Amino acid sequence: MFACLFGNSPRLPELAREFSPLVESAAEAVVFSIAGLNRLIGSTHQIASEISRRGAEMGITANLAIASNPPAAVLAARNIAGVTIIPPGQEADTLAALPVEALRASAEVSLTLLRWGIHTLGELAALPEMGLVERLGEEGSRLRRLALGQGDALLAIRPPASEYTARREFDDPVELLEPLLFAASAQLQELTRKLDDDGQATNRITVNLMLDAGEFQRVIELPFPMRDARALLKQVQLSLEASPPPAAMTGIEIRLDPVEPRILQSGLFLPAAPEPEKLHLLLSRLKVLAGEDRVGSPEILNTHRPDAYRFRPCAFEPSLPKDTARPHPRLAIRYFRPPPMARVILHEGRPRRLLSERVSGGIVQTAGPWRTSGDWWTDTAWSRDEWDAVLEDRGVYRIYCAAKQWFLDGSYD
Amino acid sequence: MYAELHARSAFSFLEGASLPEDLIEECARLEIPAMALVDTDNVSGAPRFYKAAKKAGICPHIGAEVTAARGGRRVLLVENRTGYRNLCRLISTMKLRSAKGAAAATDDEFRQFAQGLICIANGSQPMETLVDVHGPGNVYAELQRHLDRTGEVRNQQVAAIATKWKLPLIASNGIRYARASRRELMDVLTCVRNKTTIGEAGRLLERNAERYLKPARAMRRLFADTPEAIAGAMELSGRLQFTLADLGYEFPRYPVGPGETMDSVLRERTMSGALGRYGLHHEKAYRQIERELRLIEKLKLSGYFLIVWDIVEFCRRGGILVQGRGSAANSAVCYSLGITAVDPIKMELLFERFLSEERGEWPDIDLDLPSGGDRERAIQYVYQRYGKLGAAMTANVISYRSRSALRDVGKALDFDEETLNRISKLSSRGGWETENRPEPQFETAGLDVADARVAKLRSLSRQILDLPRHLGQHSGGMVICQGQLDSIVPLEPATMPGRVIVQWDKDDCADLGLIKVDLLGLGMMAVLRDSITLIRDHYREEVDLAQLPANDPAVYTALQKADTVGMFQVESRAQMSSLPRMRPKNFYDIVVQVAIIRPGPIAGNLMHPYLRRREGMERPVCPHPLLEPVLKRTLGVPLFQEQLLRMAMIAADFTGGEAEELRRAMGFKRSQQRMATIETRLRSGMAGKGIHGETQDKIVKAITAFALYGFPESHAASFALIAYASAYLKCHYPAAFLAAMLNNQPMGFYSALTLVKDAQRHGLHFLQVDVERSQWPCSIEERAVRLGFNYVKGFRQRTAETIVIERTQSPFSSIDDLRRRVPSISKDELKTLAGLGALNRTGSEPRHRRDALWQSELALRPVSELLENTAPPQAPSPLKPMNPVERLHADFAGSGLSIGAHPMRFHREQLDCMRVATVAAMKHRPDGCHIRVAGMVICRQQPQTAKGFVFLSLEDETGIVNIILKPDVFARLRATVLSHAYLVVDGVLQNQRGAISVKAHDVRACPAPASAAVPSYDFH
Repeated sequence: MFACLFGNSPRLPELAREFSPLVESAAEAVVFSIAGLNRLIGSTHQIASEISRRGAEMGITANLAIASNPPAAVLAARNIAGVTIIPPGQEADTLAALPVEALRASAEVSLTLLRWGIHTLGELAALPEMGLVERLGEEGSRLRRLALGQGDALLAIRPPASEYTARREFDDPVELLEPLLFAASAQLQELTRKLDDDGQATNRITVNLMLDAGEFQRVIELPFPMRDARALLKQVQLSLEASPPPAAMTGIEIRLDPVEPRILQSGLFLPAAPEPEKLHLLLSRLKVLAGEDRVGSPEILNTHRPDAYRFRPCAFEPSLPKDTARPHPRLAIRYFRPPPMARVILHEGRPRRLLSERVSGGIVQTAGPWRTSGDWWTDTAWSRDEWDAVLEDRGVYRIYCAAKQWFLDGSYD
Repeated sequence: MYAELHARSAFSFLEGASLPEDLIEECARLEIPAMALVDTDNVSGAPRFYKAAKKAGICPHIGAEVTAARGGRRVLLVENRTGYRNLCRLISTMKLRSAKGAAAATDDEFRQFAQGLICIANGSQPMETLVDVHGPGNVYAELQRHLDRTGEVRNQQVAAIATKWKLPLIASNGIRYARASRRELMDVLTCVRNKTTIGEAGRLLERNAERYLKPARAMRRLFADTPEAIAGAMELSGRLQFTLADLGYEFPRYPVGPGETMDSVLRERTMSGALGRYGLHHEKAYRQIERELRLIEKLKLSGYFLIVWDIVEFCRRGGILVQGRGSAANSAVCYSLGITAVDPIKMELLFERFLSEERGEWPDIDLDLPSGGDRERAIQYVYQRYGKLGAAMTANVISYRSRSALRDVGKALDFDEETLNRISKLSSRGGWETENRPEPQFETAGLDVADARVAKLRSLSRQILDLPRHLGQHSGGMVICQGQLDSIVPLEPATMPGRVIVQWDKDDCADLGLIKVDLLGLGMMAVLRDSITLIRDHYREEVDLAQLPANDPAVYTALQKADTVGMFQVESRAQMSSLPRMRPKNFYDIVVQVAIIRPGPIAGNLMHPYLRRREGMERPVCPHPLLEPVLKRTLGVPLFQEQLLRMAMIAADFTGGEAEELRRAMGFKRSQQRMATIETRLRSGMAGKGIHGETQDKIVKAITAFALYGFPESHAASFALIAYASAYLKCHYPAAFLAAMLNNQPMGFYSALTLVKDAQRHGLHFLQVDVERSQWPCSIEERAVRLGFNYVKGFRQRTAETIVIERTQSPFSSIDDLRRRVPSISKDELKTLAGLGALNRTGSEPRHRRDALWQSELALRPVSELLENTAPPQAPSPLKPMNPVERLHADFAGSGLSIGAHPMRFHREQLDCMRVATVAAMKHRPDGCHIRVAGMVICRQQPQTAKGFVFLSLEDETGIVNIILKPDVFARLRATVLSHAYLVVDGVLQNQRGAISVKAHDVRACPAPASAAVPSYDFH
């Protein structure tokens, strides 16, 4: 006999496992074998009562159906509210009143049944099997058997997913990172060994630190799956150094999210590159030093806004070197970031003298204004007039005026 | 002084953000004396540009940016008429040989059409080629300054090349919009063109907002280092002598025999036609014909009349129904030539409305043809007669309307699809919201109008309104030319294969004196044609539309009862509600009826005074005894445009041309100054005739009030003829008329289902689709209509034709036999036929629909080659027959209509318990009583003239009733009214002289067969 629980509680598999190791889970339903339970619990009704009682204790609301085969149990649990027990041989009668939609047939078959005026499982079951097979093929036969409450589907059993969490509470509050990392190291050793055993790796570390008052959490995203305990510990260390916990710690919990490990095949013609783990570690160190948003590969943005760029994460995949043609010689500008404010004296609308903390002097030659504006659809609309100015000392600078304020933008090489 | 010689308008289609008129207006404001319009690969904006420039006193140069096959665009300006012709032919040549949107001219084509064109070099094309193709004296080097570094680099290169080749420099600003504020719209258009959003467009957008029209002072300052470039632009402007006034268009000459002239041939054909129309002794007619012929000869229009006559003759020879409409019906010559069917002498129509010496315009003759193949034959005849390059359809400039504006701007501003759908649905169509109040729709759609992005959407959607989006094809306007039309205006292929369009729309063609003939497709003409054929085949009677009995009592009885579903022009809800009051008794009443139920007369409050006088509730009075002959027929109320003209001619001694000028001045685009001048002339004329004081004021008021709304009497008369013919056929040959109506759907005001139900109420029988009997179209069997395969959803005509051929060999012995003999029939087609009962009589024994469905599934099974030609075992079906409601559902699912009982019939018992009255029973209830009615919604309307009132038409098994919802009631019940196919309405009955309607105060969903819903015709 098989039981099926249907409901929206995430604890349905847990409830089922309390009664059987043979559990198949699906969305909103679990089916499990109750064979042999009669010796432990009693009659089918008593088994149903026990499952219901335990479910109520666990706060689970679900339909329960017991039948001689899994498909009949699933059909009944999905479509009949409360507890349904179908005695062997009475499957067809019990299910007869259910609508054919309960079978979840393909759209084409559903439409055909609708055209035939077949609305219930009873009506479907009454059709001749040969006639159905001739018209709907194997699908027709399968649906009819389901409608009759017949079925021999086996359970697709999966072991419960492993959790990779380690937790430790300290006897005395820990204030320094070193003892904390010592504890973390042991935890990570244990967790990575478990990952290794299961043929898994991780791409996310979640560190929860229990504080005197409250909790402190750091989530570290890894660019690729890893399971080297030392590399993971270094990531934890750098992360905590960059954002140390605000108070003494009373405990630590580390959770690793399992993912399939990375399979890497190096190319024969690819240049040697540093090990990704080491490169990632280096970048993490740099981020600690320079700041999170100041490390990466610079990318010029697709906009007319001058000096618009952003950092994107560094790509680790090695690639073949591009064909590097000799670039055209170009006038280079060195941007002052941030641009210092300046005072500019104009004559007939053109800059004649520049005053700034960085450079000052009379302007002997200008080109401009070069006008740009954009982002008018946002609240960060901008507009500026740039000038290229040659100072008396022959230095060539770019200055600009935006929102009535002058800035020294950079110098030309 | 400075001339701007490089300006794109919005006719560059998403590459310019201002209309030509706006560019000219800005030129006038900035005192720029000349401008060149150079749109991309077209001169579509040139007529409007020329017209506006002429008015503003600005010199309008024409040119184009022509896409070059080797890359980039070449800017070409027209120097003289040869240059213009060459530009048109260059664009036509490249467009006609390329796929839409992929046209580009080769170097050889540029060389072939170089004469008379000036090339503006801007560095994008190799200078050597340009000088070689256009000659050194015809190439100018262009400098543009948009305060942009890269542009300046290009300027330096251009200047260096100009020096090397000794080319004169010109300065321009590469205009994309009239004012700087339009830069935002330009960015949005760029996004639309590149199918991207403003956030993603990046460097596709404008770098700054400098491509606007700048005054001479600013341009001089900008080019202070090269003043010769400013002077160069002025010098070049002086060299460009061509304007569109110098088009050289000539209407084709009609070929005549030796010793004949076009005038003599027209006279001879008119007179021989008149003999048939009027007999020998109709002096008044011959006097009028003579007058018209003299004017036609004087205006050299004989060729035009002969060419239209030639098209009409082609249609006659080919058995194509054709009838002229519009103001041509005012002409006795057109009537005699058979172009029109309304006798203008008998109807006392006014010739001056059609043609006048003063107006200096080509007359407008529109021909109505059956829509579909017949109309296409007529169009192809014109192409054949005048050559592919001698005739073309006029373009239809598709411009932004409120919905498309919101959608395109919204997409560019990255609003999500769901929000845009919400706003679009609430946008004005059929008057749901007023055009000038967009705020409510934004708020109703759940948008915060204070939000900056929403504010941009609002303002840019307004700015983009009326900007051209792309060129389409006009429904029927054809331009014909003596010689090569492609040297008058560029031609390009239309989306429809075999069609060529000119780059100007019909108004542009008219403004520039290009004569056009409108070949319009009219669904009802196709219905009349098909009805005549069906009557000939099944009733063995010949119907001649020109010889229909004049005062058929059945027709007038039906009109008076508003029993007009399916009849041309008199079937709408508004027509039906006025017909019982109007009670037409003769043909002229139908003419009035056609003209009076229009937005114009309704908005102008002309309808009710006329109806009141007709019903005897008001005394018919004329503003002045002199006007009595003009207004007598319409009981003193001016209803037609011709009456306006005659009133001015009689009361103020206007000539025909002056009267027409008055009509135009009072038209939709009223100019205060023009109106004041004409009113002065009107008043002085009346004073001269002794009409003073209050009477004078009354006449002026009458003329100005209705001039805006009046409908041409000639046009109404032409339509009334078709209306009468449709009514006659419906009353006397209902099966033929209905079959023809069904075969020409969609058309008219009602769905096929409503037509069928109305016909059933009139006793007409319908027969279900049957593979052993049906044709592709609906046909007639024993005076009943047999539904055709064209009413089987998803059925292919080729399959239907194979079925018809196969069954003439022998009937199908079984469904499997059908499947084997018609192998092209698909699974879905066979199942749909079975579901509709079309296979019930296949084989020796009748079967029910489910039986057929069961068998057809078996017939569709894949079998091996060995068993391919063997019949499967015929076991009885285990399925139950469909009940009537199931049959109704199957009918709707398979054909969109049902010839069984009306869906409401199945709920009548339940509705009786709810005390719901039938439509038939309502006619016997007193006016003003409370009533409850229910039915299927067949139409929802909110006319703009109705001040927010919404009208529904509900149909039950006994008839159709109009429901009126006041604005506040509709606002309260909007969701119910719009979302349910069947409604129960509580309200007050209005039963006035047989016109039945219900003023609703409550509406709710009605229990009805849920899936048996048909789409209602909403918001026409």
